[in-house]
Parts: sequence; C-alpha cells; structure tokens
Amino acid sequence: MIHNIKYFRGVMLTCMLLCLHAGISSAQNATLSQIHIDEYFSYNSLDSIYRVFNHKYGVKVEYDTAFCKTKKISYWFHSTDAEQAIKITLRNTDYTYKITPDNVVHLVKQELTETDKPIKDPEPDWAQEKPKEKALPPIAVITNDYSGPAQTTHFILSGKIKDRSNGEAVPFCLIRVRGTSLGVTTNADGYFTLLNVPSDTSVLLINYIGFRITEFHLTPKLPKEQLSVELEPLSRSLNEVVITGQRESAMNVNNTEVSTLKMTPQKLAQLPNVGDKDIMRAFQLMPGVSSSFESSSGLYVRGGTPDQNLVLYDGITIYHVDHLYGFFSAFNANAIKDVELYKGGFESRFGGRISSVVEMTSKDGNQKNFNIGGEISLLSFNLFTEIPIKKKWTFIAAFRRSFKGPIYDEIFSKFNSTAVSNASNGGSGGGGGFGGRHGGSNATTPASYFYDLNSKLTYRPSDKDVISGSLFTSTDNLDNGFDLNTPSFLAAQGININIQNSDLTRYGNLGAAVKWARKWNTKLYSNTLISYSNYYSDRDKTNAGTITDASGNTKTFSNGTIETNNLIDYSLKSDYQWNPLKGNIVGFGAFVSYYDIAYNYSQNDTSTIIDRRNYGLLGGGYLQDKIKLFNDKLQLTPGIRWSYFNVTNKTYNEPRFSAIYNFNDKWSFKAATGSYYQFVNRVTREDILSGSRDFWILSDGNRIPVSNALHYISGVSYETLGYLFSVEGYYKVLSDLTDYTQRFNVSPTRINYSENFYTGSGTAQGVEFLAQKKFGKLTGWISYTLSKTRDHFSVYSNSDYPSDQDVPNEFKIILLYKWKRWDFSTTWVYATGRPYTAPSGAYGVTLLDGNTADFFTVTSQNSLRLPDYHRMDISANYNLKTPEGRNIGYIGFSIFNVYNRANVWYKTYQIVGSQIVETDVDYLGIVPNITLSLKLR
Amino acid sequence: MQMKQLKTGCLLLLLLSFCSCKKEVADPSFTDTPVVQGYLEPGTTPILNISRQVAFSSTATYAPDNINALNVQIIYNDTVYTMKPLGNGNYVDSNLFISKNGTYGLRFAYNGKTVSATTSIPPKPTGYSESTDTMSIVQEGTGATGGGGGLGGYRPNPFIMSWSNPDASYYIIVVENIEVNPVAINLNETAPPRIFRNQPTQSNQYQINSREFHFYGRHRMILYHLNPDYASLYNNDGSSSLNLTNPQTNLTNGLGIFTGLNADTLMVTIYKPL
Repeated sequence: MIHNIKYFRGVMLTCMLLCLHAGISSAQNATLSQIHIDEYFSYNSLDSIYRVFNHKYGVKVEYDTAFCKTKKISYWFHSTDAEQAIKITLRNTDYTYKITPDNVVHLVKQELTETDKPIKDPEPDWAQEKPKEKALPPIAVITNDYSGPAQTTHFILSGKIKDRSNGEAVPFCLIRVRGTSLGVTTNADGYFTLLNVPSDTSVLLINYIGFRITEFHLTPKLPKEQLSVELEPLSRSLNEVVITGQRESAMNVNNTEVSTLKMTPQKLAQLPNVGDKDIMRAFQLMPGVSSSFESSSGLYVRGGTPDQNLVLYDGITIYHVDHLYGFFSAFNANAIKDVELYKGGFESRFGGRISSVVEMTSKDGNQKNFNIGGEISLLSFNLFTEIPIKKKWTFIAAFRRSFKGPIYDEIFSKFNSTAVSNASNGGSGGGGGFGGRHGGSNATTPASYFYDLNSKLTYRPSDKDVISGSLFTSTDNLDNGFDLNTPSFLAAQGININIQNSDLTRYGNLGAAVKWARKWNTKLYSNTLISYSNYYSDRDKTNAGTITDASGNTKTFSNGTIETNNLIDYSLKSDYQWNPLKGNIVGFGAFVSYYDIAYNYSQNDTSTIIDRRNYGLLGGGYLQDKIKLFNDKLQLTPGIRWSYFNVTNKTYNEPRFSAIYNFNDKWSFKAATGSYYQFVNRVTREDILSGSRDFWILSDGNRIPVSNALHYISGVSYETLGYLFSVEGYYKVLSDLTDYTQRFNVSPTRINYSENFYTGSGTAQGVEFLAQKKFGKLTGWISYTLSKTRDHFSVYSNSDYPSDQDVPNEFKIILLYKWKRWDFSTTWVYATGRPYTAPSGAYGVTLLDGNTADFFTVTSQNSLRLPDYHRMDISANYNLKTPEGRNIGYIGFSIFNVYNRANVWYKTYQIVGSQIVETDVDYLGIVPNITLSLKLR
Repeated sequence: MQMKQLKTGCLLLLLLSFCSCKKEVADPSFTDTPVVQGYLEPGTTPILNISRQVAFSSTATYAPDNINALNVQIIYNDTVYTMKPLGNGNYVDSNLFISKNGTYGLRFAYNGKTVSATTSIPPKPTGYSESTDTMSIVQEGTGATGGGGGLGGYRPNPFIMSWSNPDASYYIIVVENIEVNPVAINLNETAPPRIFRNQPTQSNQYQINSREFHFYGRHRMILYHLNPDYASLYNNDGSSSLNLTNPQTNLTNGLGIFTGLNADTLMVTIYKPL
C-alpha cells in the first residue's frame, strides 16, 4: 500500500504537470480570441503580466521591456479573451498592438500606427456579464480620502472586521498589508492585531469567502486601535466556490493552519442535497472525509470515526450530530456563520479527541435591521429571525422541524423495514419474549419527527467586550410503535383496554453557553466560556398497558427492553491570545470539564445487563507559540497541552508541532505532528434485533482506557488566485481504542456484559489530492484520496484487519456552474466498497422450547468488500431577486442519487434449507427534492 | 482552456483510481468444525447430536469423518462413557444417568482435532411458585367476540411465576400445552405453537399474560436453571454483515452447546369461561 502511495504521489504530480502542459500546448495553436484568461493582478507590472500570459496561456507578447517594467496595473481578468486582455492592459498608455500571423502580439507606440487607433476601453467583464443585475466588481477599494505623506511608521494596528450588511463580526478572515508579507487572521469575534505596520498610509487587503476582496487604504486620521472595517458581501453575481481549503486565498502568508477546511454555510444551498442543506454532508465532499457513509452525518476523517471528531458549536462540545438515523446533521445552516474542519495535526487549544475538529461559530444576528426568513422542502421547514435590540444587543433564532413528507417517510420506512427484516432473519434464537396472538384492531401510529433550535443573544457593553449566550437543542423522536385501544364492541361491555406497543428511539442534544470575549489591549485578547452540554438517548422497546374490566378493576403490565444513555458535560475554559512582539502569537489557556455519564440497558424491566454511571473531572492547560521567521516565509507552531484526569489519577502531555514554509506566493510546504488523547468514548452495542446502538461512556483507565493517537502530516500546495493544487499525506498511530461486543464471554461462570469491552489499536495512513478551480462561471474541485486504515483487536483477529471505515480509494468531482440567475451543480463520488465480514458457514441449535436458532461462523474479520460505492447528485437553484438586484431567496431543485445506484449498505444472511442465502440491503435510491427559500434581507 | 485541463485531469484520476483498486482477497477458508448439541438434565440419559455446518461456499470441502461413526465419550468422575450412535448424528449411552451437581466432560475426535467441553449441572430451582394455577380466557374467533383476531375481550390476571434467585443466576420458563387434543383459544389462528418461552432472565419472577397462551387445557410451566453459556445463545444471533463475528460456544474445536440444566415444573390450566 505504501508503495501504492508513493506511486500515486508521482503519478499525481505528473498528471498535474501534464494537464498544465496540455493546456499550454493547445493554447499556442489557438487564436487569441479563443484563449480565455482567468487571473487577478494586484499592482503588477505589465512585464510580469505578459510573462504569465506567455507561460500559462501561451500568449506571446513582444514589448518594450523598459516601459512594461514600470507600468503597473491592477485588474481581474475573468474569462477574458486574450486579445481583450491585451487591450485592457494598454488602457491609458500610448501603446497599441498588432497581431502577426503566427499569433504573436507586438506592442507598438500609437503614433507609429495611425491606422491602428486604440480601441475604446471595454467595460469590465463583470459588467458585461451582469449588466442587469448590477453586479459589484470583485475588488472593493476604500480610499478614505487622504493624500499626503505618512505620519506614523512601524505601529500596531488593531481593529475589527464586520459584515456591512448586518454588522456581524467576520471571523477567521485574512488581512494582509499590501506589498509586504505582513498578515494576520481575525479571531472568532472578528478582532485582529497587526504588529509593525510599515506606515499609516499602507493598504490592507482583506479577503473572506463570500465578501468582496477589499483594499482598505489607511490614513493618519484613522484610529490605530479599534479600527472598524466593513466588508461588502458578494452578491450572487460572482461565481465563487462554496467550500475551499483555507489556504486557497491569494494571501498565503496568512496560512496558519495545516489540514484545515473552511466553509461558509450561506453558500451551501448551491450544492445538491437529499432534503436540506447540510454542513456535515458538504464536508464529506472534500478529500480525507469519507462520503460513502450515508447513514452517518458524523464525519469519518482520515480513518477516524465520528466520535473521534470533536464538534464545537460556539465552544460547546456536541456529542451527537445525527438527525433521522444519520441521514442529516443536527445543525441548522441558517444559524451558523463560519465552520472550520481541522482534519488532523490541530493546535493545542483543541483537545479531547484523537482524530479531528469541527469548529462552528454561530451568527450574532443582524445589528442593523430586523430580518426574517425561512425555507420549506420536502423534508422540513425552517424559520429564522434576527433582531437588533437597541445598539448593543442582537438576537438570532433559527428553528427547523421535519414533517412526514415523502423524503422523511422513505428514510424512516427504509430503516424500519430493515429492522423488521432483521428481526425475522434473527430466527428464533434471539426471540423477544413471548410471541402472543396477533391482534390489532383500532391501532394508531404516532408521528415521528426531528427538530432543532439555535438561538443566540449577544451584548456588546463596550468596544472591547462581547458577551453572548448560545442555546442549541436538537431532538429526534423516531417512533415505530402503535397503540391499541378498546374496540367498540368491548367498550359497549364496559371494558376499557389501552395498550402501548412502544418502539421509540428518542435522542438529542441540549447545549448552552455563556461566552465573554474581551480585547484587553492591542496585544491581548481573551475568550472565556462556561458551557453545559447534554446528550441523551433513550430506546424503549416495550409493551405496556392497562386493562379495565367491566367491574372497574384495572391491571397494568409491561415488558421489553429499555436503554438509556445520558451524558452531561459541564465545562469552563478560558483562552488567551497574546502578541508580545512581531512574528509571535502566543496562545495559552486553561480548561476544566466535569462529566456525568450514565448508561443503562435492561431487559424485561427486571434484568439489567449494563448499568454504568461514571463521573470524571478533566482539567488542564495549554501553551503554544506561532512563530514567523525569515520574513514570514516560515511559520513554526510548537505547543503543548497538559491534562489531568481524576479517574485515572494521571496526567497526559500532548506535545504538538506544525510548520509551514511558503517558498513563494504560490508554493507552500507544510508539516505537523502531535499527540492526542480522548477521555470520553462512544462504543457500539450490537443488537441485530433492534439495531445496533451507540452509547457514550467515560474512560476508566482499565477496561476502557484513555485513547491515544499520534499524527504525522506533510504536504505541499501550489496556488494561484484561481486555482489550487494540493497534496497532503498523513500517518496516524492509534492505541488504547475500545470496542464493545456481547459475542465473547470473559467470565466462565457468568455472563457479565459490563465486562465485554475490549482494547485494541490501529493505524491510518493516506494521501489526499485536490485540484480546485475557484473563479469563473464554472467552479469546483476534484479530489482523490488513497488511504489504508487498519485495526487490531485481538478478540477478533490475531493480525491487523481493515477497520470498518477503511475506504482505500475515494474520488470526488464537484462542479458548480452559474448561468444568469441559475446555479447548477453536480457531484459525483466514487469510493471503494467498505469491508465486511461474511459467513463461512452456519448451523442451527435447537433450543429448549423446540425452536431452532441459526448461527454463523465467519471468515477473517472484514476480509471482504462490499461493491464499490458511487453516486451522482445534481441540483439547480433559481435565485429570486428584488428589482434592485438584492437576493431574497431561491427555488431549488435537487436530485440525490440521480442514476438510482443501488449502493449496498450491508448484507444479511439466512439459512434456507442447506444453503446460506445472502441479501443486500441498499442505501437510498433516487430522491428528488424541491426547496423554496425566502428571506427579508 | 483550463476546463480542458481539469477534464483531462479528472479522467486520468478516474482511471488511476480504478486501476489502483487492489481488491482484497476473500478468505474462502471453511473449516469443517462439528456442531454439538447436548443438554444434560439430572436423572435423564443424555442424547447428543453432532452435525456438520452448512458451508457458505459451494466449493467448500468437508472432513472425511463419518458423522455417525464418531468415538464420542462423556467423562464423569474419571469414568469414560462411550456413546453409541443412533444415526442422524445422535449418540446415547443408556448406562449413563446425569447426577445432580455433577461435572461432565465431552470428548471426541473430528477433522484431526480433539473436540472437548465441560459443563456442570446447576442446582435445582428452589421456591418455585405461581400466583394462581388457573386462568379463564374467552375464546376468540366466535360470534361473541366479533370475529376474532382482535383483543379477544376481557383480560384476566397474569400468571406471576416466582422462584428463589439470590445469586442472580439465569433462568428461563418454557410453557408447554400437554393436552392430547388441545382446543385453540383463537379459532382463526393457523398452527399456533403449543410451546413457548421467554428469554433467559436473572430475575426471580416472570409475568405471563393471557395473550401468550394459544390453547385451552393443562400447561407445564417448566423453569430451567441455566448455565451462562446457554443464556448467551440468546444474544448470539447476528445475521448481518454489520456485526457478524464467530458465535460463542463452550466447546473447544467445536461449535454448539454442551450444557447442564436443572428444572422444576408447575402446572396451570387455561379454561373457557362458562
């Protein structure tokens, strides 16, 4: 496999070079009008521009070097044909051009060619494309009306970046000082500090996805502290990629993280969906995040499982992200402002998980105007409102609820028919108690649903303080039970019968937090959070009821299985960012979490199989320094996280280190390593009759050890304004993993299910390739991941075997195309089939009641593969605009699994006669959806 | 032009990805392991059944051993009892009667390996009692109850079966109708079962409702005291690729169950109201 990886690395690079070479070669044979240029130049000389034209597009230009080295322009060529591009470069000059038969452009002075008058400057291409929509140019220039010399040099500048439309702080946006390598990223509250700004007439270049690139001209009159800069949101007139690697910005100098993906939820609607736009599903389209797990919206990142992925919502740890059996995630995109996924090698400020981190920042709410909006699809409806309260308060709330429409019903019935099928396949062995005679008149089936609510109240008592309270709750109520009521003929006899046959799964999250962010001075910023997070999961599969006879005597009865898991996490953490001197950003903080985790599984109301309740205290701190060296070309981030866990009475040290070397403005090399511990684990209890169940438990340092991972990551990226090519490799060593199975009895005299936890280890390695086109009418990316994930649990096998989430090959194409008011998109994913364990043989055992239970012996663990997974989704959105061109929503059409591929979810087996019959259980087939989205602003 | 590059890249990557798919080699190995089924009850002569597995692969090869001519031995107090074959994989030794509280071993050779197991006879249940020994149930499927298939009318008190279980051992209740020609409670039911049971429980009581009965007449309420290896059979019936693992067994080099039981029985009667 390693050989394969090496082979692939070479092939991929060759492939990229071939692609570029092919483009250049073909360009030389084309006429200039057939060559389209997509480039952005910021105050570049004509000499450098023509070099790019030549090397990248094959456009040869003969020119006066002395003139072209001094003449500089800024311009965005957006699918501009080469001849037009040449004309644009010569605006306001004495030069015009001639094209010789060999397609070489010759620049000549105007006075020498009286017949070749310069052509009138064309309209900018964006204006040509979108004249009716009044599209904004991609660059916003804020000059601040000053002309004169600088008055201050080498000073500290601090401030805040906001969204002009609603006053929202813009988190994690890149700010660079033009002409220097000086740059910084805003924090989660939009604050930034730039040390050693050359002069108070410098120009800031500010870039954030979804906003116009802004040139902000500093002047001596502007404040050097608490500077406020407002960015103009892009109208939908610009074609922009929805998801992008953080380092896809032109301002590579600000690339401060390794293996980080960034998303703007507001653009999610452009992607196909199965019922609702989904943050977690969108991440699954990127390399390194598996996309073939339709029944989990949790992320499988680089061979990790969803429980190894830390999910933070405004700092609150969220333990369960699934709606409706995992087909949707529990996060409402309308309430979220920014999402970042750290695929590995993450910083010391994150802890408690061994694979990855998803950090979500919710919206503060519109500070300027009241806003309301909503969406309705075939799955759910969604409402949100933003309310500014005087000047210092804002409030936002977003609510979503499913209804039993066609999509909900399809998923619900698929899952539940599967469960029924399993039950019948289970034979008589497992049995669920007494069979009973069939009855069923006057049965009613209660409704199933899910909902979630996000709300946030923000208070800004001063320019330096932001206090916010966040509330997040989500609930799934999956009810497959039914009630039996008194038939009329019995009611007439005075008999009253009320029987509830429960098959209820109810789970959800409740998270609440109060955060205080303070900018103490230009160099120190703090963020303190106290949070409560509760995950609960209740499974009730029982029969219960009351019967009242004609004499008024009432009897009650109840039996079945009941399972509850309740996790409570109280946390307090305080993070600090300190900029002591240029080139250093010191991060430090402290945290403490108290866990109360209970899990109970009982049968027949009387027999408790597992009953655990554990308490734990986890506390510690971290320290890291982001050091920039060699004119910011090299960035080193050493750090250490220290934790004390009272259950094991041990301390855990997690040293981490990352490095980024920006060879030039296009090539970057990066590497990271680190140690990671996980103290709260999710394990799966197998139950074929009623579906396997996940539950969270606390490590006890004994049967459930504290999990550990070591990450090793390296990569290289080549990036221009319009394109990104990236290759990144990883290797992870996992130890002290926990699995739970009832299949092996550790006690010779007694079944003790609470002891059936097993410890194992694993490795994950892989290479990810990404090629992305970021601008133009057609945008998108292609990605390929080659990976290998192995587990080693001696209870299953004496040797390493493919883990359940091992997907060696994943290939994804995502294309988005804009045409007038329409946004079209298509995604196609291909993945090697997941491993599974098949039976080698089967046998029956006659039980004491005379029935026969079927049993299967198996091949080596996970030694076979399901058929390869592939699926295409398409969507088309028609954007609704006011006469002034303002977006007020869209009508979306989406088709999931457009060619109705029968992707296999798993296989079931039955003994029929003297044969074992294998049956495929498939994932969702084709699912169309329509969405109507409207908003006031 | 860039799109041409992208398209070319896409196609190349696609081809490469397919080329790189190194198919995992299936593990076709099927080991012909014998399946044993033996329940040892005090005072009875054990009957063992030995069978072969059903192979998933049609090309699997079986051991040459004759399933009806094995040298099957039960060891008790260092005495070896050789079982006599009865055909169809059944073996018996009429000289051997299972003793209470005894420990028994099993041994035979199959496919070049020695198959063995050991089990103990659990103590007889104590304190076994029932809340009542009769129950009246209205017949269904007659004109009086509106056509049957429904709830069948008035529900009597359930049987509450109790026993002593201070050490949380495993028990199971099997209910068997013992009438020669039993009358069905629901006339619309086709081939209702004469015998039924609950799941193993570590409790000291179990409630059996009238709905569980299918026939009128006398019923044996057999309470078995179980070893954990039998109880584990009830959590060992995975049939999906999501959770298949080798089933639990208390046999070495074998599959199935070889376990001791001890039972107590009470009688109840189900009658039709006058």
